[in-house]
Amino acid sequence: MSEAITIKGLRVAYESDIEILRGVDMLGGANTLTAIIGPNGAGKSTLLKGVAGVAPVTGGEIHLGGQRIEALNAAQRVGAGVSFVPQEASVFGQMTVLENLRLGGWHRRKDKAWLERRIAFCGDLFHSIKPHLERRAGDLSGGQQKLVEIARGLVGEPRLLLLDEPTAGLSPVMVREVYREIARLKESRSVTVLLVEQNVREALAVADHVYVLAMGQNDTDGPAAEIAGRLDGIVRNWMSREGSGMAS
Amino acid sequence: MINNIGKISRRALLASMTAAGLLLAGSGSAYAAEDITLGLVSPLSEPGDARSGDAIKKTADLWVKLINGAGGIGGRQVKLAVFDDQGKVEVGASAMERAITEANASAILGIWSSSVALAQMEVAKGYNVPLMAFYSWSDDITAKNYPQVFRIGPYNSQIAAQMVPFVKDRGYKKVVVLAEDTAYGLGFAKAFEEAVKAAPDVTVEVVQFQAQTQDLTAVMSKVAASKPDAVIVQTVFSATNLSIKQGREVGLKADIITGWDWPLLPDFWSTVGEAGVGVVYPTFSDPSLNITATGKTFVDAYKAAYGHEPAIFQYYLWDNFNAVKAAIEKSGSSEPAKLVETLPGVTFEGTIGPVFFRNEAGTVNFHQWDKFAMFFKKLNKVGDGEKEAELVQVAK
Amino acid sequence: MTQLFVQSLLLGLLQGGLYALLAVGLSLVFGILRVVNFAHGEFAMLGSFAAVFVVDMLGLPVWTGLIAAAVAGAAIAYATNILVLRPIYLSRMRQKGEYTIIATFLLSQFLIAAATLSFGTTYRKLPGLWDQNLAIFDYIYLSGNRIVAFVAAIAMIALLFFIVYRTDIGRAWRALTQNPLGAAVVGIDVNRYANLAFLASGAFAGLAAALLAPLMFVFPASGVIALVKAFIVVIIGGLGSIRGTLFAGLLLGVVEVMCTVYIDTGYTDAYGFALMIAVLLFRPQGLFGRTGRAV
Repeated sequence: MSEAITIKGLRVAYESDIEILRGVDMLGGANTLTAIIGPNGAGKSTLLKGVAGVAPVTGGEIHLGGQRIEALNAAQRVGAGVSFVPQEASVFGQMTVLENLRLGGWHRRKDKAWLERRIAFCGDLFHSIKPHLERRAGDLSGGQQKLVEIARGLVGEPRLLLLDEPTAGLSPVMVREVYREIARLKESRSVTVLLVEQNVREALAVADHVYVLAMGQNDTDGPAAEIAGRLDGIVRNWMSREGSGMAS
Repeated sequence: MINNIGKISRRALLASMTAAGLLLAGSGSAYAAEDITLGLVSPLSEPGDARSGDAIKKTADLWVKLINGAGGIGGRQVKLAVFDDQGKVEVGASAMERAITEANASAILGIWSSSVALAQMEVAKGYNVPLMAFYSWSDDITAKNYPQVFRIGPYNSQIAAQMVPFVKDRGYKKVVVLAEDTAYGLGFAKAFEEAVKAAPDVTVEVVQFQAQTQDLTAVMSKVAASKPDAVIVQTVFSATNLSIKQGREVGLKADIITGWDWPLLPDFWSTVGEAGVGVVYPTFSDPSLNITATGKTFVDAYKAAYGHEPAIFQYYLWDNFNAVKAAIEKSGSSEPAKLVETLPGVTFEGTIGPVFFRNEAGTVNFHQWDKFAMFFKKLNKVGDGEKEAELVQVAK
Repeated sequence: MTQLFVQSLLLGLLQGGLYALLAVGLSLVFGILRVVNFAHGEFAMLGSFAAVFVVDMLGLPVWTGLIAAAVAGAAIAYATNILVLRPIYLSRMRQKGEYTIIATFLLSQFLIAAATLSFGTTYRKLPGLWDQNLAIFDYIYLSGNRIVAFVAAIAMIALLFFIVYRTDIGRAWRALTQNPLGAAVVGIDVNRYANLAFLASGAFAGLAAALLAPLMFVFPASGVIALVKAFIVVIIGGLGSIRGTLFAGLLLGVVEVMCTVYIDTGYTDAYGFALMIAVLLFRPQGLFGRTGRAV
C-alpha cells in the first residue's frame, strides 16, 4: 500500500533566494513513522512543505517509492499519494465539516462509492468533531478545526502522510485523540508518516525513527529509542545554536 | 487682486527672459530659412473629445500641406507640433507649455474644450504667445481680454441670445436646459437663463450632468417626468446622442434641440437611430451660406482628402490658421510676441466672408470675430443630413 | 412623483443587474488568485466590439453577437492569465499583488490603444434583441433591451451560483477562495481552476458589455467606466463574494438612479463612490465579505 520516502540533498528557498533548507537527506521506510525534531528555524516545516510541493524546491531529489516527485506540482503530488496537514490553518471555513472531508478525496472524486465510504470512515475518527459534521468548519474551535484537517488528510488514503505539528494549540484531550489516531495508523502499517513535532517526548514515544534537523541541514538521526537515550545532549546542542539568527 | 497681477507679471517677465534667451541661442542658425512651427493642442484621446480632435487634426494637416505646397509663408515651410490635451485641464496646460517651450511654436491653435482653454490661456499669457480659439464657447475666453487670446467662432451668450427668439416663436413655455458640467455646458446654461429674461412667459430649468457619463437614463427620466415642451441639450456629441436615445427610451416627449450641429457628425444616425427623428439643431452652416473662394478651396481640398464634407467648426479653424498666416505676413516675423501685436489688426478673406477682429476692450467682443448667422434645422427622417434637414428658422 | 419613483426604482434595478454581471468575474478572480485585474473593463469592451463585428459587419443575428462577446471576452481573459498573470503569481518574487496590478493596468492601456487603432474612436451601436421603447400602461417607460439585458444578467448569475455551489468546479473555486493552502494540500490544481475562473470572468464581462451596448454605445474607452463600476460593486459587496456582488450591483444601480433623480443630477458617478466610501468606513470587508481570512 504505502511507499518509502527518500530525500536527497533537498534545498528550498523562498523569495529573494534565501535558502531555508540547505541540502537535507532523509529516508522514511515504507509504513514507518519518522519523527523530525529540531530547534526553531531548523527547517522542519519547510521540509514537509518542500515534500508536499507547496514550497519552492530549488535542488535535490524526492523519491516516493519508485517515483521522482520533486518536479510535480502540489496537485500532482496529492495524486501520487502525498497528503500534507500543514501547521497553518487550512480548513475551508465557509464549508461544513463534511464538505471539507469531501474535498480530502478530491483526486478520486469520480469514484463516488469509495469517496462516500472514506468520508464516513474519517468523519468517525475523532470524537471531538463527530457531532459537528454538518456545522461550518469555521465555526468550530481551533482544536476541532485541526482535527478536521487531519481527518481530511486521511480521506484520500495517502501513501505518505506529512503531519506538521498536529497537536500545536490543542487541548490535552484532543492531543490524546490525535496520538491515539497516529498510533493506530502506525499499528495498521498502511501509510508512511513524516511527523514534525515540538513535543519531543510524544514524538519519540510514537516514532520508529527520528531525524534531527538544525539550521536547514541534517544534524543527526537514529532509531527512536537510541535518540531518546541521547536526547539531553541533543537538546543542549540546540540551546547553544538557538538565537543564531536563523529565521524560520 | 494686486497680488495676482504681481504674480502673473513676474511669470511673464520670467517667460520673456526665457524666450529672449532662447531667441539669442537660436539666432546663430540660418534664421530666414527656418521652418515656422505652429502648435496644435487638441483632444486627441479619451476622455477628451477625440472625435472632434481627429477632425481638428485633419483640418490642420490639410492646411499645412496646402500652404507648404504653395511655397510656405514667405518662403518658409510650416510644420505642426501636435500635442494631446486629453480633454483634461492639467494635461492641456502642460501640453501648451511644451508646445511653447519645447517646440517653440509661434502660435497655438486647435484648442477645444472651454474648461481646458481657460487654463491654457494663462500659459499663453505667461509666455506671450497667441492662442487661437474657434469653437470654445465660454464667454470668458475673450471676455477676460487677454492680449494673447483670439477667437474666430461663436460664444455662449451670443448663441443663447439667438436661441431665445426661436424658443418664443415655437411657443415653448417650459424649457429644460440639459447641460454638461463644464465651462461649455454651464456657461451656456447661465447665458441662456440670462437671455431668456427677455421672454418672461418661458420658464427654464437647468439640469446638469457629468460630462463624462456614459449613462443618462436616470437624468433623462427626471427630465421626462417634468414634462417640458423642449429640451436644449448642451454637451458634446456623444452625450448629445446618448441623451436623445435614452430620453426617448424613458418617455421624453418634448422637442429636443441639440446645443450644436452634432447630428451632422457621421455616427449620429448609427448610434441614435429612430430617436433622432424630429431633433432640431442650430448651426452656422447652411447651403445658403456664402462660401468664399478661400472657403471653396478648403472644402474641395477637404473632400478630396477625406471623402466627406467638413463641419462648420472646421471652417473656423481654417480661418484661424489663415489669421496666423496673415499676421506672419503682415509683421514679417513668426515671433510670438510680434504676432500678438499684429493679430488684432489683420483682415483677410475667411471661408465664409471677410474676417476681422472686434477689439472692444472690457467686453466679450475683444479679439473676437462674430459675423455669423444662426440657422435652426430639423431632421425629419432617419439618415437626414445637412442637405435634407428642414430649415425652420434663421437668426442673424 | 410616484411615477418617477417607480420608474427610477425599476431602472436602477435593471441597471444594477448589469453592474453585477460586469463585476462578478472580477470578484471571482480576486477570490481565487488575489489578483486585482485592472484589464477587466477591457475584456468587456472587446466583447462588445466582437458583438458589433459579428452583427454589424458579418450580418449575423443579434443573439450570435452575445455569444461572440462572451467568447471574445473569455479568450482575452484566458490569454491574459496565461501570458501576463501566471508568470507573476507563479514566480518567487515579493509583492506579486502589486506587480499584477501594474501589469493589468498597463495591459488595459494597451488594449484601449489597440482597440482605438483597430476600430477608431467612432461610437457604434449594437442592435438588441428587443429594440423597442416600451410604454407600459403609459406609466413605465423603458427599452425592451433593458428587460432582455436584466433577465439575461440574472440568468447568468444564477448559472454562476449553480456552478459555484453545485459543481466540482465551483467546489474548487470556493476552496481556493476560502483557503489557498487548504486547496493546495487537497490537490486542487490552482492553474486549471484559475484558467476556468478567467474564462468565466471574461465571458461574463463580454456578455455584460454586449447586453449593455444596445442601451449605450460601443467605443474603445468604454471599459474604463465598466471597470470603475465593477470595482465599486465588488468593494461594496465584499471581494470574492458572489452573493455580495449581486446584491451590491443592484444596490449601486438603485442608489445611482435614485440619488440622480432626487438629490442632484450632476453627480451620477459620484454617488457610487460615496456609497463605496461609506461601506469602507463602516464595514471595510464589504457587506458580504468576511474579516480575518485565515492564511
